[in-house]
Amino acid sequence: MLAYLEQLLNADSLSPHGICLLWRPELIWTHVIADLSIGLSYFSIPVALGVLVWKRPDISFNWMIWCFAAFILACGTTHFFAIWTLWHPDYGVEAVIKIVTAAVSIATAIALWPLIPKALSWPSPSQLAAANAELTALIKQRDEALDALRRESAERARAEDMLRQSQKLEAIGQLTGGIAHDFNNLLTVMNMNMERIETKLRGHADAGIRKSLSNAMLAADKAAAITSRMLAFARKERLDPAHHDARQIMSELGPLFHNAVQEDHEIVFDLPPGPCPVHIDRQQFENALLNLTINARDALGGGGRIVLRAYLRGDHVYVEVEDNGDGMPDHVRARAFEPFFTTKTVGKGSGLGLSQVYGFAQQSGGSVDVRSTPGEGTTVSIILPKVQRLSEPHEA
Amino acid sequence: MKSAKKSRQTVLVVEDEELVREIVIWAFEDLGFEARGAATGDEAALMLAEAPVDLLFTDIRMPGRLDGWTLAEKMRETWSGLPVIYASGYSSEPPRQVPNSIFLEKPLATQALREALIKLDLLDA
Repeated sequence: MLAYLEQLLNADSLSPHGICLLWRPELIWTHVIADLSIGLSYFSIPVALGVLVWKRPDISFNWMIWCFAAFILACGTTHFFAIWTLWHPDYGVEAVIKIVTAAVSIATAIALWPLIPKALSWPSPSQLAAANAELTALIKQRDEALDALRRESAERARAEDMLRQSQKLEAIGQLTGGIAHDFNNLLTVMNMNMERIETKLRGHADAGIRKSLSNAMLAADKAAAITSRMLAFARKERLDPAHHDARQIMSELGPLFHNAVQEDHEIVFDLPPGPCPVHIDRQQFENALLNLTINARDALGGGGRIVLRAYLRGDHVYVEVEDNGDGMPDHVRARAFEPFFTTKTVGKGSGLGLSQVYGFAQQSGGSVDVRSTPGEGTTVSIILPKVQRLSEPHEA
Repeated sequence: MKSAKKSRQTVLVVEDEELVREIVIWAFEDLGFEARGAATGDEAALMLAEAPVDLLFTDIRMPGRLDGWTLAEKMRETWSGLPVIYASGYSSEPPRQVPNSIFLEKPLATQALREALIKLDLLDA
């Protein structure tokens, strides 16, 4: 083996390859330039492949790229050696280099074939783009579904909140109604007994006693007014409903509102051109509007604005009182309809105004909505079912 | 004179609250009526069966089987056209259209009672 290698590498009896070309310069230099170009190109390719594999470690079968690099490096070396053998007859070394090249080439070729089916199964860029687009669409769909779910869950939470609120108000209403009922009995006893005393004392008692009695009777009257408002919240107030034009009532009440608000604030009426027919107890409706206007006035510091608005939407008439006053934080808004809940100073408000509005709307088959932002103002809407026409069908 | 038609008109006051019943009886007496009281509808029905009256004054919500409406209805089966004054502390109760009757809301006042009697033609204006 050693002898064979020695014999192979021994170039003593050989002549350089240039002799075969009879040292003709055009042949010699054309070969040199061609082999040099091929060799340099071949050497640059593994560098480029190396950079590619280094930058993109995720590429599949990168060992195959290393095989290509080795194979092309070996090919380049054979071309460089072809230049060398033009002047130096080292054909043995050239043969060894060719053997190495052959080995690398065969190994690469063998490894390459099994890869072909796998390479064919790789998605093309357009397939990838399509898959990507599909994926993006799916993500978008999922995001939208998620958004819808969030909205629904928020809506549900709001509905549950409203249900809780209305259940609470219902419970308070029953309690308030019960209390008012009992008080009405007690007030009957007080009223009628005092009236009886008054009659019996007529012409006998002195002015002081008569004054005391009349004060007591006055207090009983005021107490009766409170129980009546409690019943209004509890929806036990007797209503005398008829068909009315809410817009007309509002415009007729104009002077009353101006009176209630006085000159500190601006009152604006925002009423539609056509009628707003509703089936309501006019007195209670006026009370509700007045209560809302007084609340709005009390929410305004000075130089505020109150808008009294009516409009039709779908099957409903919206009657709104809007102010640009202090507004309410959520915890106040949540309790605003509870009877005796007030944020006004002691003696300023009974806490029954909004309760009356709530009771009136409920008993009239409608509802109430409050929107409020602290620092920006409050809008209370009474939403009433619209009736078809203003004139009522005449009862027999 | 209408009140002269009969020397003394009679009324049955049906009311479960004793203090209310008592003052209403006194008020009727002050107006010249002969008044009796019952605490429940059932008691009132028994009393009326024994001695009829010219006027029934009844609370609407009462303990027992008979509320004010039912009591008056039953009594009118026997004495059709019996005048009735209904009284209720829950003013929401829709006043039923009963002929020859008046619906009063509590708290009651003597003046309202007097006006009701005049309307029912049981008292001279």
